[in-house]
Order: sequence, then C-alpha cells, then structure tokens
Amino acid sequence: MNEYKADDFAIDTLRILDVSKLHFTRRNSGYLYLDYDGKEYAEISLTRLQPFYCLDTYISVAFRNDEEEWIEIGVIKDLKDMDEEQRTLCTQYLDFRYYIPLITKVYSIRDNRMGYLFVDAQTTAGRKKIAVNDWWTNFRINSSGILTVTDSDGNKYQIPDLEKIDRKSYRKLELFV
Amino acid sequence: MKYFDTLTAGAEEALVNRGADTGRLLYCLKCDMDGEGLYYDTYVTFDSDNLYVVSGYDRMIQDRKRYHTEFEFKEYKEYKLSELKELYVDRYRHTCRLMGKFGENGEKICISRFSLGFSEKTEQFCRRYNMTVKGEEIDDTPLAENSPYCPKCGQKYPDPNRKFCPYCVKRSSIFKRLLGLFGEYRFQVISVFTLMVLSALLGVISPYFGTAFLYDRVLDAAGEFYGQILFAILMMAGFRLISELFQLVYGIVFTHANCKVMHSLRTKIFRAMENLSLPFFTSKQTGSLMTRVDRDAGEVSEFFANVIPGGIMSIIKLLSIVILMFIMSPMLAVFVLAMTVFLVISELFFMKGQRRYWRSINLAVRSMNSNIHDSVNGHRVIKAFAREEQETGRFRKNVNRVRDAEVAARIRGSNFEFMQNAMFTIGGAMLTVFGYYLVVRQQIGLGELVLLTSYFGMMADPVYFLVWAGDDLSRCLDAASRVFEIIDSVPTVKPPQNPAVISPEGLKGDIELKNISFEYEAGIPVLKDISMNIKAGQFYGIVGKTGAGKSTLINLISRLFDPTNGSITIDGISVRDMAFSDLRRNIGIVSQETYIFMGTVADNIRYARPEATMEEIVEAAKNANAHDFILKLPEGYDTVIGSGGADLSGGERQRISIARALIQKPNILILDEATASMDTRTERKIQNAIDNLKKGRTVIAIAHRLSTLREADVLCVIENGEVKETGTHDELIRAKGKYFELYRLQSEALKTISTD
Repeated sequence: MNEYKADDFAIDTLRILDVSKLHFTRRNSGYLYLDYDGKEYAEISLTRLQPFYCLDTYISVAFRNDEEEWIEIGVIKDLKDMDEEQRTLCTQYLDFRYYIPLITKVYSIRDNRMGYLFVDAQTTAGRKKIAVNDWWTNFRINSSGILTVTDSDGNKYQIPDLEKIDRKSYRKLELFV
Repeated sequence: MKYFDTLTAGAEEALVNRGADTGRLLYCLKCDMDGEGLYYDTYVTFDSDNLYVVSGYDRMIQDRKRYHTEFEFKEYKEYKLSELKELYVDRYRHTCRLMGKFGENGEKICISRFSLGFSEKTEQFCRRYNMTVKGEEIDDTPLAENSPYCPKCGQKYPDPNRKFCPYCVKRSSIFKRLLGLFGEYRFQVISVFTLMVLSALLGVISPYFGTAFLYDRVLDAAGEFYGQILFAILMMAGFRLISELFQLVYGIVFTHANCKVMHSLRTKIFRAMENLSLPFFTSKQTGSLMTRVDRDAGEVSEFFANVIPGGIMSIIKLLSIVILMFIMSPMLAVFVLAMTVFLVISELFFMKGQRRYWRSINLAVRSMNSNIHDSVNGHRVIKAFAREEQETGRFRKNVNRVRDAEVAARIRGSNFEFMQNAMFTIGGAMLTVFGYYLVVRQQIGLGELVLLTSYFGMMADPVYFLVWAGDDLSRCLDAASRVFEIIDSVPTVKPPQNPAVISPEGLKGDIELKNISFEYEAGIPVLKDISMNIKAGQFYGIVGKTGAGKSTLINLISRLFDPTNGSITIDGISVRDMAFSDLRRNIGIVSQETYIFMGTVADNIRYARPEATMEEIVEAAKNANAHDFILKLPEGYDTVIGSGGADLSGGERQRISIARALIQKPNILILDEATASMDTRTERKIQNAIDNLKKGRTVIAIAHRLSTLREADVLCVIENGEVKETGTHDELIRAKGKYFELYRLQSEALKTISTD
C-alpha cells in the first residue's frame, strides 16, 4: 500500500533533447513517428513554444499515452542543429500544423452590420469575406506588428507585418487596431 | 438528404456521371481547402455502400444580372463503406483534416482538409458515418433544433452560437419593432407629435414678426400696422413663448413614455436572460451581457429621448422654412438651397474622416482603461514584484496615445469648424448681396430679405443635426439588434411541455444515468458513455483528477446542461420531463464556486427558501459551522455581504453556501468540493453535519481529499470522462486500481509533509 515510487513527486524540469538521437519518419497519413534514444513513439506532436517569435527554435515534442494525455518527451532547442532531411521533415510538419491564411489585401470593411464586421480580403488561400464578431477582441495585434483576425467561426487569419501591407488596406484596417 | 450541406448542381452532376445515385445519399459535407491550404470546394457524401469525395471549385457566374454557381471539377474519389471503417477529425492549430481508418489494420489516410470553423459540422458528419457503418440508429432531431443556417435565406449564420442573420434582418424592421414598444403609449405619442409640429411651426413663424412684418408693415408708413411696434414685439415674443411652452409639454410627456418603455425593455432583457440556459452565459461571445442590459438599452433610450424629437423638429423646421422661402422668393430659395447642399456635402466629408479620429480615441481610451483595470486589480502582484516603475511606464505610453489621438481629432475639428463658419459667413454675405440686388430691383421687400437671411441662419442647426443623426440611428439599431437577440433567444435546455407530477414530499432520490455522453465543444467529449446507478439514501462519492468531468456530471443531473447522448432519470422519471422548479427544489447544490448575493447574511442563507424562519436560518448556519463567524460580523445576521458589503474569506463564503443548501432541505444533496477551502478542523465539523444530513437523503459528493469520502457507500472513479472503477473504499483499495493509486499518492504526500 505504501510503496513509494521515485517519480511520483518528481519536479518537472525542462528537458532539451539531444537532436543526434532523434529520428523522425513520416507516414502516408501525414503523422510523424519518432525513434528517440531507442524508444519508439507513434503519431507525435511538434509544438512551437513561441509560435509568433520563434519558428524554428524551442519546439516541444510530445506523444499521446494510453490514457489519451499528451506527454512531453522534451524540447528541441534549434531545428538547425538537425540534419537536412530531419529538419525538412519537422519544418514541413510545423508549417502544416501552423498553417494560417495570410491576408494580403483588404478590399473593404463593412462595419456596424448588426454587431458584425465584414472584411472582404484577399488571402494566400484565396479571396474570402470574413465575418468578425466583437472586433475589439478579435482583431489582435502583438508587439511585433503581427495582426491576427479571428472570425466568428473561430478561423484565424494573419497579417505578418501590418506596416508592410499596401496603403489602401492599411487605411481600412487602422480603424480597428 | 437533409444534412449538412447541399451539393451544387455541378458537383451533383460530377457524382452522377461517375455512377452515384444521388437519391440514395444520406449526408453531405462540404470542406473548404485542398492539401496546400487553398480555398477549394470538396464535397464528401455517402450512401449505404460508398463514400464519395468530389473536389473542384464553385465559381460564381453572373448571367444577365443573375448569379449562379458553376462547378469546376478537379478530382473524384470513392471508398467502400465495408473498407473505410471509421472517419475522424484530426485537428491542427488553424485547420483540420478529415481522416479515415481503412481495413482491419486501421491504416489512416487523409480524405480532405478544412478550416477550423468547419470542425463541429465535420465531427457530427463523422459520427453519423461511423454509426451508419456500425448499423446503429441515428437520431437527427438535435440537428434540426440547432441548424447553423438561417431558415429564411439559407445562408450560414456568421456566428454558429448566435442564431442571428444580418443578411435577413432589415434595419427598418428593427426600427419598426422599436416603435412598436411605444404602442401602448399611442395617445402620448400622438400628442407629442402634434405638439412638436406646432412648436416647430410657431418657432419658424416667430422671426417673421421681427423682420418682414416689422420692416414692411409696421415701420413702413404704408403698412397696415404702421407704428404698432409693441404689437410686433408682443407677437414675436408670444409666438416664441408658446413654441417653447409646447416644447416643454411634449418634453415632459415624451420623457414619461420613453422612460416607461425603456423600463419595460430593461425588464424584458433581464427576464429573458434569467430564462436562458447556462450554455448561453458560458459561451464565448456573450461576455458583454451586462453591457446589453445597461449600455445597449441606454443607447436606445438616448436615441428616442434626444435624436427622435430633435430629428422630427429638424425635419418640420426645414420643410416649413423651405416652403416659406419659396413663397417669398423662389430665386433666393434656390440660392439658399444650393448653399445648404454644399454645406451638407462638406459636413459629410468631414464626418467620414472624423470617424477615423474618434475611433482612434476610442481605442486609445479602451487600452488605457484596461491598463488601469489591470493595475488596480493586480496591485498586490505589482507591489510584490516591485514593478511600479514599469507599470507607470506602460500607463504613460497609453495615456500619451490618448493625448495624441485627442489632439489630432480636436485640431481637425477646430480647423473644420473654422472653415465651416467661414463658408457660412461667405454664404450669408453672398445671400445679402444678392438679396439687396433684388430689393433694389424691387423684387422683394427689405423685411423679406432680413427674414430670409435669418431663415438661412436657422437652417444650419437642423441640417447638421440630421447629417449626424445617421450615426446615432446606426448605433441605436445595432444596440437594439443585440437587445432583441437576447429577448428572442430560445433556451437550449428547454422546460418540458407537460411536466411530470412530483409528489409534495418530493423525490426519493433514486438516480440513474444511462450511457451519458457530453461535450461542451463538438468533437471534444467531456463525458463518454457514463452509466451510474445511485440508490435513494446512498452516499455516493465521485473521485477523479481535475478536468475529469466530475462537475459536468452533476451539472447534467441538475439539468443545467442536457447531455449530448443518453438519459438521466430520478425515481424513474426523466429529468427532461420534470419542471425546473420541481427538479431544483429537490436538489441542493454546494459547489466549489460559491456566490454571495448582495444582501444580509440571513438573506443569503434563506435564498432558496425565503419563508424560512430565523430559527431555521440559525440552525442551518450552526450545522454549516458558520454561526460563530457570523456572530463576529459587526451586525451579526444583518451584516450586508456580497458586492459592496463586508468581505468574507473563501471558507466563510463556502460555509454560507452550505447553510443555503441545508436550509432548502433537499432530498438530493450535491457537494462539489464543498469543503475545499476549509481547514481540517472545520472540514471535519462540516463532515459531521453532512453525516447527520445523510439520513433519508441521497448525497453525491465530489472531493479531491479522499479522506472525506471514506465513508461513502459507493465510490466512483472518473478519468478522462469515463467511469474507471466503482465500489466501496475497501473494495477499491483491494482492487489496487486507479483509486488505490490516487489514495496512495495522497497518503505519500501527507507522509512527506509530516516527515518534513
């Protein structure tokens, strides 16, 4: 009854992974599998710790245990420490996971439409009319000038640098940021 | 095929061309992306034999002012249901994939990709596909109740949680509905309108006596009132005075009617909110409910109190001035109108640009207020980490932004005001010059010219008022649409049409949960196929880690939410068939989130049973171990607590909330971490009180401290929304399963503490 396991109350610490021991493979399903230090992990997940600021550094690697909980294996400090093939695999996965349509041009913004704001925009995925509810909350600009727009369905769109968008689009957007 | 999306003609044709019988299709789903993340239209549909995937692009084609879609075909795939065993959604940060599991070994392949906003619909589609494969019966009633499409125009609601279609709702219909609120004050409204017309007309006529009448008929020797200056002055002052008097009377009458209408509107919003189900309050988009009762109703009230009377007066004034001007001198009237149009256009231009400046002030002020809010609420942390300087710096930055925005807006406003005045002065001068020319040519009298000049001056205010009224109208209609949205909301947890009859003694407390599943967000199950049988009079303990779904379970029993699947019965009667009042009278809940209403301690304890006597209140307080601390409060049981009242600690609040549940004398008592904020001694005392109460009652208790549940008749361990173990403490310890593990961890933790 009172058997004591050493890791029951162990303090969780940051574990930087030794990239030389990491070996990722990609299946047809698109999932990544990992062989690390002799252990195999299926359908692992890579997460950027700072998705806005650090795209290739501090990448958390996690797997799902039998109880459906995500358990972190560790953190890759920098993808550039990996060999070419492994780095490409991880970058492709991360690009897919964090894929977000980027707004390249704003044609019009119709405000005060019964509480909605309709943004007619050209995105990297195609032209889209974005319905935004409560723009105060759903137009978010961070200190780096990245503007994230969340529509009423929860879809996100981004302008990577508000200063770099064309003047006409900027004039339309500046009322909301 | 009724759900979820409709095949466009082109997509249907593509399917038919490949041998599919579209009449047999069961469900259809539209996904919006291709593998590269470009917007693309992929239709996924199935019949009882195959799943079809047809991809392409729905192009909008304009043909003689009419739009129709043309499907540009790209790709077609077909899978046999016998091979494609299961569909599921694989979520990423901003997009998802529809995945399929093939064959016996469950090989996974991606079927399509879509934006996150499509995930709820896709989860429901997957569930139906999987049930079809397994041959299970599908109930589509919940889909019909929660359609994300507007029944009128068929367009998807911009916000699936807000059944509100901005494409269909006409602004005029909202305005008509607002006016309808004044229906019962018809007499007052008609009187007000009549008085307004009279007041405006008298206001317009009054300058006539000081100008045309005075110059042409009193001061002119040939005039019929020659020399009667006092009469002219009295007429002018009299008309003005009566006009003001009418204004005063209609102001009083209208204020009464308006205040009553706004009172009824606020009451309606509040009543509607009280009837709404819990999900409405917890949904993301309703964080501003308080604003709706307060600010939105105020916005509507403001519009009716100021803009409507001002607007009507302005319109009447303008019309009568224009008519009078045309009667006196059509040529000068046209000249004045041309100048007025020019002034209106310049004002509109100014307004368009000025909105941008006001918006930036608004944004800056909101940021500054958030900053102040942060600093005031987080002052302890700021002081503890000595971050005063940084916080002051942050505030300085925000306040500078407000200053800059205000300076820019005011400078622009002043510049425009100067230009406007200059234009007006120049216009007036031009009018005078042109007018004197006409006087010299004896086309109009001198008095008429003075009157026309004064009318030109009188036109400015109503014109500007009407130009700006558009903004006020827009704000009012937006506020009204939000208000009506609440009033029109239908609760998701609906009361039964014909509630079951519950005996006056109440329920016995036999609770049965059958295959309960629940999800707050589609595709993220919180409870999975849970079944439980709680017998009347049992002490039933629920154990599990944080986020396991324990509190959700009791929310379902008390019907704060309805389960996604499965049924809950108490004494054999489904909770869905019980009137809310019957159900909740029989269930007392002490939750971990205690709420103290503004009022005295006694009022808070007797909240669920206002007729409780003082003796019962004190008895309940004593049982909840609250009596002693209540006596230490300055006014004992009469001490005002809650918002603005005396501060209570977490443990004290929890004890009040236990007393509140005890006084209700419920047959079923639910304790959700009821003693979590208490010290061990108090917890023990309350535990004894609860033990006393257990007799003849069903008690369901959730606790992290397993020692408090040791005496439970049955213990149930929930993990990841599933029941893992059930049994008594001794049985579960012997079984050495999940409960044993939790118990061992807590014992070890206590041992570590005591060793330290």
